[in-house]
Amino acid sequence: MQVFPISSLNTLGANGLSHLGRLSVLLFLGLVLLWSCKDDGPDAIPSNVWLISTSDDYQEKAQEALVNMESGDTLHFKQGTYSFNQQLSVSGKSGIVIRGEGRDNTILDFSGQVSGAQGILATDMTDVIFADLTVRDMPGDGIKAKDCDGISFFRVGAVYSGGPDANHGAYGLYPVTSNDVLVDDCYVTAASDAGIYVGQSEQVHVRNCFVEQNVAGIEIENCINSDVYGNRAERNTGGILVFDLPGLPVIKNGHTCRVFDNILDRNNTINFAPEGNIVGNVPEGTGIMLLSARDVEIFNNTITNCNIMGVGIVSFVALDSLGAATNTDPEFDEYVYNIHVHDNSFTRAPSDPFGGLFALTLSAVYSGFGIAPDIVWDGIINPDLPLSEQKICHHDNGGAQFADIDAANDFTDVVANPADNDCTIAALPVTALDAPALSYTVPPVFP
Amino acid sequence: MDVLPLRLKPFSPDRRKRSLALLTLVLPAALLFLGSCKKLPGPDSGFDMDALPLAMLSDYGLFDGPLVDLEPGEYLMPYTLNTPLFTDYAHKARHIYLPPGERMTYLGPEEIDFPVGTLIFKTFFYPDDFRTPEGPRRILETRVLAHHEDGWQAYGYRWNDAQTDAENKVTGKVVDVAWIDEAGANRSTNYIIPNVVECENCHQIGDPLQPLGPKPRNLNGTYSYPSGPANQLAYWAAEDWLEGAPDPSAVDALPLFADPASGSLDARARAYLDVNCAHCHRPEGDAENSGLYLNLENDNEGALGICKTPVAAGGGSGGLDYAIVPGQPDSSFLLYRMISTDLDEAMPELGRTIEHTQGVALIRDWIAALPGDPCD
Repeated sequence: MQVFPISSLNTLGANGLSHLGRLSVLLFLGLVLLWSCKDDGPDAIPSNVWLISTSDDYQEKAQEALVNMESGDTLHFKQGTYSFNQQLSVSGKSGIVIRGEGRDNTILDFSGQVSGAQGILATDMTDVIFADLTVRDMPGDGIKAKDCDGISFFRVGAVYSGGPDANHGAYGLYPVTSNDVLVDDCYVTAASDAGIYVGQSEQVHVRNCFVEQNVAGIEIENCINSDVYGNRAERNTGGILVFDLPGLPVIKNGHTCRVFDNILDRNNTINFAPEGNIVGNVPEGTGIMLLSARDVEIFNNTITNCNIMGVGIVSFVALDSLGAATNTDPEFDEYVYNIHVHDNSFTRAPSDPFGGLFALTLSAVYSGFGIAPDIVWDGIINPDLPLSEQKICHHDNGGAQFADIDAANDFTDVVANPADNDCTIAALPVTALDAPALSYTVPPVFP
Repeated sequence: MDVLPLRLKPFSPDRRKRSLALLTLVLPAALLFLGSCKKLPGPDSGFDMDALPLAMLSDYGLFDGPLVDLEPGEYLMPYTLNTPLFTDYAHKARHIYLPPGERMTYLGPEEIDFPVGTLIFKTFFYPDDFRTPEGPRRILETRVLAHHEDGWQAYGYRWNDAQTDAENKVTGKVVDVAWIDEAGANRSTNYIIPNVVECENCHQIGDPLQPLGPKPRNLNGTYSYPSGPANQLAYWAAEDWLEGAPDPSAVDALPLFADPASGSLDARARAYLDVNCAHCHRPEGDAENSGLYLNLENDNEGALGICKTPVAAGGGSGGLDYAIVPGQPDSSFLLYRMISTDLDEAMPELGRTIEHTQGVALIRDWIAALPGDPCD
């Protein structure tokens, strides 16, 4: 357990403030330090830091802070393990930071929780940051952030102990109906739906995260403008999902998502989602899966040993025809539009077994390939629109096999590497992001 | 059980006119006295809203006698609701405070306009034995909604073990409670006192906070006043606490959910769902992203849950495909979530740790009787 030098104190209070604000805070801090430097200087706690330690009546104190914090304040959990029996909640704050002293050092444990469906619930926030702590063993979701304008997670963990289990909470990190969402260098394991779930949001970056043994590692659902990059997804049922689902009121149909520079390895975990859950339809052995998505660019990913498909491109029509789900939302567009898969590397041992759920169907479908194809498209197009508006393109994927499996017609006309799909689409732009940032990468530690 | 001792000040039929007349008489005198004896803020002159929340419940000085008796003083109006929110079988005492000279205004069957300075108190308690509810009891918390110039604020007061007073807290607490129910069975649970953010999560309809209980249609019923039982809307009008209200017979009363004489099965079920679910499950509510709208005004069958597939339900669908399958309560996850006490499944998310058997029975009967084909 590393203790950082006290010099890191000078980054405190600077979070989320303008340069001017930062300067004045530093000046103020400097004055405070000068004033009190005689003997107790190192112990001085900036007045805008609400400090919590395990020896406090910490549940009471932390919730009190979350109610009374003002703009620019930080709620700081010193290292240690904290047990909560109620959800922590915060609402309507602007420019606050909730942090610990490291993802492995500050653990908020909710295994004894008797109230609230999340570990932490943040609603209607502006520029809020969660950093350097882990939430553990929530009966429900980990951290849910709803209706936030600017929210960042840095080095946050959400852990459900004991590996895959249908009784675990659905989502580890769960920003929803928000905009300017950043999830950076986070870790989530064993969530029974998606480890990192971003839903109905605009301007989203999920980067440099490690997600393992969840049903879905990362899920982008009904979002507009998302970049998912630099992540490692291992041993989930499906590594990264870009889904649009019907019946969601805020964003009916998402679009524009870039998935790049990710490592997707051995995402073959048996699907353990609770029955009736839409993510229960993700076949084990899925690297990346798109559902009813529009404008998605998948590039520079390394996809290894995902047994049933490296990239799956599926429309809701296919789920419907398989009897897996029904769309009753007239405003929902079920089809897939403009998908561009290029410059990825696919590796898989030919002897790897197909996954469980659709194994029977797909092994028959795949029989002509000898090995499961790397990129699988259900072959379903919107009959009311020209093909030029719904291109499914792949190229430069190191000789990866592409399959049109004709799911609309009971897989009767499976085509390997159809020429029409050897095409290209203009690159998507970088997703603009205006999420709050931290001025440090190593968390400050208090004595 | 809801007979609370009450001493109401005998207001004249038109307080405002009288106040005006009084004002012209006393103004010169008051001016003379100003400076020498300025009246302190308090029950009889209105509270200094900027000074709220007061530290202790007793600081408001609104109850007579020992606080534990919850005996309303002259500036409090007690009330009850036809169909209340279920809160783990807790009993509730409800009181409204209006600044002297102010009145509530009837805006429609769903809405009352409360003057600035209004305080609404709701006190949660468990009688030791529900068969004798007026007997010994344990009071846990008093929740307060205060109407400021810029909107409502929520405050919580946590009762001490000695039951002498309650202290303002922004945090919640888990409290072990035990009681004997109406059938004589020993019951217990972890009662959840919410924190103020959770208060806001429920009371935030759209953006500002709002009172949820006191709507004219839910107030349109009988209360046992010291002077005898009377319709609450009529009594409030007669006592000059409420203006603009039509005769109660012209206001559609919300039925009493457990009293078949008060309304049809459909009306009682919809009343129960409205009161217990619709603070979130409405288009402006916290659960808008679910697309499930259980407010009384919603007449869209799909949004009401009929053959509606789950959205962001996590494990909450219990393996069931639809919120409501007409005629099939056990295939309806709306009912499943009313029964479940798992934190990631239980509905409502706040305020219920055990099953409300009467409520579940009502919704079960309602779904069983719903016409229409099973979904698919």
